[in-house]
Amino acid sequence: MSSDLAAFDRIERDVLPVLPGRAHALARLRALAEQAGLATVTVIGKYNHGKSRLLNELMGHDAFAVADRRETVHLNVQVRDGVRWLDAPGLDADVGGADDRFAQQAAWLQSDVRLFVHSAKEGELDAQERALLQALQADAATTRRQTLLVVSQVDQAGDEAELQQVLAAIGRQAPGLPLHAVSATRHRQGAEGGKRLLVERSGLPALQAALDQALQRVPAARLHESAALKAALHHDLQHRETTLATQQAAALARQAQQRRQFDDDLRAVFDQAQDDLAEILSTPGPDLALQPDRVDDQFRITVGRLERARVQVAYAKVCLQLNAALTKHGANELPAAQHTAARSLNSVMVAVLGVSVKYRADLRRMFQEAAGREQLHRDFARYYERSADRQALAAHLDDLRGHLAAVHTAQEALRALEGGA
Amino acid sequence: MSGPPDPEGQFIAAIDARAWRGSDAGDTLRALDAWQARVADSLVPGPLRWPGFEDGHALAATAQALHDQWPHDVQAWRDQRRALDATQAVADALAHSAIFLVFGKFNAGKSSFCNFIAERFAARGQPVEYFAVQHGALAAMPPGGRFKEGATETTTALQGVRLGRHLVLLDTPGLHSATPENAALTRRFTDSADGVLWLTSSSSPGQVQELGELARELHRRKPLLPVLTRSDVVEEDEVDGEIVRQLRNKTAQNRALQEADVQQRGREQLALLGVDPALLLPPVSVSSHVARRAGQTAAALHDAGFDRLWAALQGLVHPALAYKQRKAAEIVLHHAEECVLHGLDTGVSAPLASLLHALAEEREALPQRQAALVTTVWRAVAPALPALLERHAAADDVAAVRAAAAGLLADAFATAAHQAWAGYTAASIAATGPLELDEDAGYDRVDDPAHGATAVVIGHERLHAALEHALGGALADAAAGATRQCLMTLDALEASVRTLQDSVTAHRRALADLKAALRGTTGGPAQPDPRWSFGAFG
Repeated sequence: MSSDLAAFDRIERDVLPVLPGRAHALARLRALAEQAGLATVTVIGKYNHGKSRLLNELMGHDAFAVADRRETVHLNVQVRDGVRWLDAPGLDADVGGADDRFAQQAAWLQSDVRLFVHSAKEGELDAQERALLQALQADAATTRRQTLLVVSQVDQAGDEAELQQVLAAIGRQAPGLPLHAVSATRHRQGAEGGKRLLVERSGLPALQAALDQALQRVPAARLHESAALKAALHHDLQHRETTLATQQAAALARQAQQRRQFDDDLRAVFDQAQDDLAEILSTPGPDLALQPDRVDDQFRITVGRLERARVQVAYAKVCLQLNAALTKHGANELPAAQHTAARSLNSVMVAVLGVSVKYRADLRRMFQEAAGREQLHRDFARYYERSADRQALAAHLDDLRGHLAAVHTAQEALRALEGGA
Repeated sequence: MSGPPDPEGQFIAAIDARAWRGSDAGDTLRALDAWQARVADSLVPGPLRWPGFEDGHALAATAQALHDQWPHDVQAWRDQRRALDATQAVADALAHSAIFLVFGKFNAGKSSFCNFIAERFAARGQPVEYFAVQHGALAAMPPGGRFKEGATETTTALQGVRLGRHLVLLDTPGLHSATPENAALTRRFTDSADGVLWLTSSSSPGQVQELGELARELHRRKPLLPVLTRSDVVEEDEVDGEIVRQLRNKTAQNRALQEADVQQRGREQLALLGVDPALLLPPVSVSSHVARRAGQTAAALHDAGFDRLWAALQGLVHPALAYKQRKAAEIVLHHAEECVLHGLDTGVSAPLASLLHALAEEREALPQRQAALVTTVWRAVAPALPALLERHAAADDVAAVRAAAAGLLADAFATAAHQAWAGYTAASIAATGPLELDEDAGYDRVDDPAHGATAVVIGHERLHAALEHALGGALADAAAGATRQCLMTLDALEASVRTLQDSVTAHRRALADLKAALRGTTGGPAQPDPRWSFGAFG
């Protein structure tokens, strides 16, 4: 029992955040576990229609307060003879609606058998009562919880003809529900005075018998309802899992596709660079660019100077192409806000390539050899993954993974409950 | 004159003695009609302005929809105002009478209550005339006719009974009947009532939610008297194998308990409806069943609660009379409050508030949209530069590079801006300006003397940097300029919204002043209560 309730704590912790719309189902499951083996009979109806008095008669004990006005303003519980009797405030009584909330809780969360009480003196059911009765009957179809329609205070009806007229009218309003016409007052008076006819005409014995029958059906109904509630939770979790998995697959595909495109574009630049640099790098003989200028070369174009320019310009062009690819994929910083000093290379380029002057040997290693290319590719890709757009996508994926993990935790909690219950 | 006190006779005499007619309210009516005309003028032709938006923009569409709606609202108010003259006609038909609306659920015993009161008038030698409303007119029921009584939902027609020369009880099937014509008719009659008797059955007394349907009457400050009907109880016993039943009054103590409960919750409900709780008179309990069975003797009537009822009705006469004095003006005042002012709330103030909210959201979204636009354009333009530089390098044509780059920027910006600021007119979105390159921006050429003046090595780097700098600046300028234009467009709409809000506030204050003058009070701003419920009648 206590382990069962611990399972509910776990359910509320793990399932409720995933399925906030299923709060009622969870609360009802807990109520079912908390009241294991104890069927709850709840009275529902307008205030002052004799609900408390009726419960007192059914229990054979004056446990609930009775007065000729709105009296019951909270949920009151009595346990007698293996039955939990729940007295709820009347509908439509108070101004703020708190009574109605208690009544709702009693009707939907707590009850196994509902006694829908309506005073014969009030004539037909009104619109609100009809709507509630319909809702209860619809609920009975899914949860198998039973509702007994009780016409109370029949001793207060004008006369027998008027009573029959009222009963017939109510019968038409609630087709398919047997009417239980009762008078708690008549029953009490008959029982206390030993008056057989009053007891019989009170309708209480017949209601008692119907209630006993209904109570016998409660265990089976509870099993059914509990299974149905759990199945619904399972279904919802499954649906949520499918939805999240679909979103995750789409985001992963987008992530992979973007990366593929980035890799392709970068490779294209490298291929182009290889071609563009081939001529310079394949020049035979010593690297003339390494030939130092002499003092009197200061204002002359020397062979060395020309070669150095040739190498540097070729390298600069490759850099521009790399830069373009990075920009296209958002791996570069955006141009700074208006009119700041221009920088020819942004920080990613500097971070990967450095600022040092490149010589032929460097370029050969970087762009002609597979290992060098791969190293550069890896370095650029690392910065690409750090860019704002890629980070946002990764964060989105993290979120989805977290949601999915929560669904799986919820599913485990639900399975644990089933294992224990 | 001596003898036992006779509240019944006193009440009938009091009703008979009054001059039940309204006072001339011409000035107030003219002032109210002028007020309504001013309200109409502030809405038609439509006062909102949204230059710089295309029709398709959500904000423009919202504003346009309001402009389309308001003429209909104004026309509806005019029609409703004219329909009030029909109410006046009903009131004329029942002129010189105090008209009490008998309100309550179908099982509250309204018909049997009215029948019993009629019996008492007849017993006093007063003429009694039942009538029903058929085809929009009063039709007398045949002599001896009375309201059909029953514990089930029987009353379906709007009916009434004229008691003596100056009292009318109106029994309605429900304030919100199913058919629209019936509802309009019912409304006209309830409008003409001077006071309300709220009948509530002693078996479930004071289901205060019912009062929501009376909000309209209560806001007109009509007095409300709760009557707890069927304040009786059947006592049974079994004697010689038979059940013996006896009907008796509920005890005075029991009645006091119920009346106090209804009084308390009734006042709370009135407060919740935004109505003065003082309108609720102390409740009284009666049992016409017991009184009738006991032969309607003076003692039986007293015990059944009727002496207290007559005294309470006497208490209702004074405020009802006060209402009747104001009635003609009250009816139009409440048309102004319930139709026009309420219409201003729901049809003008509320949509204007959400329009302002949408404007604020649009405003807040602009910087982000601007940043996203810059990113998009930059990612389209910058990667194209290396190829562009390559193309014009041989000819060393910097001007061609600059022109082509400007063209790229202009195209990309136009496309992206069109999407980012969809719904703003093209004129309000600034285009990109010309590219300003530094004087010395150009290709770096290294000439080989061995090849004459032909460049053998051409560097792009410096020109590329200059282009990026120029493009970045031009893009930022254009995006900021477009955002400014959008803000100006939003400002213009917002200013017209606020102007209209101010005039609605002025209308509200003006009506409150008119109301205060009519009731001789210093009233706060008139506020139609948002909680008016028009739920289905039980």
